[in-house]
Amino acid sequence: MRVIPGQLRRPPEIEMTKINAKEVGGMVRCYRPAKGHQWFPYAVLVSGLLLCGCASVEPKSSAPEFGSGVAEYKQLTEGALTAVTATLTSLDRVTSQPVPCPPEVIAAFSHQVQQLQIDSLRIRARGQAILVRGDAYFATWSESIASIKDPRIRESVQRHHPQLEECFVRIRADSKRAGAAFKPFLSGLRTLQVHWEKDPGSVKNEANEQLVRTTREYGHAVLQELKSVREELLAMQRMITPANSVSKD
Amino acid sequence: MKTGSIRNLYLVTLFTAFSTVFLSAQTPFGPPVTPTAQRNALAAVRSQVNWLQNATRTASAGSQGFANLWQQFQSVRGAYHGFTLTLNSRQLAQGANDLAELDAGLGIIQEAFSNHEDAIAAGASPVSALRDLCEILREASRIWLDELNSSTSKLRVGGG
Repeated sequence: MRVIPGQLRRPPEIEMTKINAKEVGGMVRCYRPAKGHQWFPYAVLVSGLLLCGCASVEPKSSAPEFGSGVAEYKQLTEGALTAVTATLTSLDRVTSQPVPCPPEVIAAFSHQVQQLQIDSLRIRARGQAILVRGDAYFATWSESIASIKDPRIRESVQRHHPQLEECFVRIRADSKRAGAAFKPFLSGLRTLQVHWEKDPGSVKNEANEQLVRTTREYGHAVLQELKSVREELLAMQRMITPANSVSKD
Repeated sequence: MKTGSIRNLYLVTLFTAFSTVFLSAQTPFGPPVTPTAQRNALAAVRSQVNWLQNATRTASAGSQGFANLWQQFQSVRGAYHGFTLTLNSRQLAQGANDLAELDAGLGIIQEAFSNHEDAIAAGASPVSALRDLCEILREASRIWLDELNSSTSKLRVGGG
């Protein structure tokens, strides 16, 4: 093949393909059927090539491992505990001030309420997903057992599967209660934020004081449920850790 | 007559073969389930989140600012829904938990709009309420996008 300067030369593999195509064409012409149906072999060839093109290789499972899922969930729970505790501390700081409460203390409280809404997003989404999917959530989670690389962990997870499922059922119940308490907790915080931003002197009025009490109670209820979730996750972690599972049995 | 019937048979065979090709590549009446379609749909979600984040930086006080944020957020939801339609059965099964969380995340972010309206009704300053809404939307959408990126990476979206 003569290469004209400046003209792009096709790579050898393309040339090979062209040659192969000619050979295939020749083979097809050998089996030419009756006159009037010359297009049929080409049609079959094209269809075959298209069908082959659609065949795809399923990639290997890339689901997160069961163990890392538990660790990640525990981390999320720790983060939520910190955020709720910080908000309750901020609430206490406002109510412990003499009236009118200094604006910077109220501003810090408002910022904390805003931060809580942001920081709680992932754990709330996780809790809702667990409630919506129910048993299917655990089923999908436990399907990732197969992808666990360490055979000792895989064996531990398989051995403790019923106990892990029991933990999950309790986590689901805790998540439901946490979500139910979080809603009025956040609503109370936001109402107090509006009232206090409008009138810093209203911190000590009776209606707001009552709202502070109920909001605090809901906050503590959220903390309690989150601690229960953390305990269950710790139990799960202990079960799937090979050394501990051996000593337990 | 015989030639005609053979030709018809060929045509039926060919049609069946092509139908198989197309049915394997897309869901009935939905977008195609191909790596390219997934990449495009994912890029659309990311763009919409960027648009939303830009809107939170430039939102003006008043009903126009709120309406614009709402519209941008609904576009994110729409783009995300479109993206989920491009996932194949393996990705839908394997990523069911992550997808449910992403869906719930959008629902939680949307609550910020009703919280904003409640705050206005309770007498909050429209300027500070909108500032609050913008801040929450910007940060929450950033976290949500991180989650989306992490989930799509695990599911090898667009990777074929």
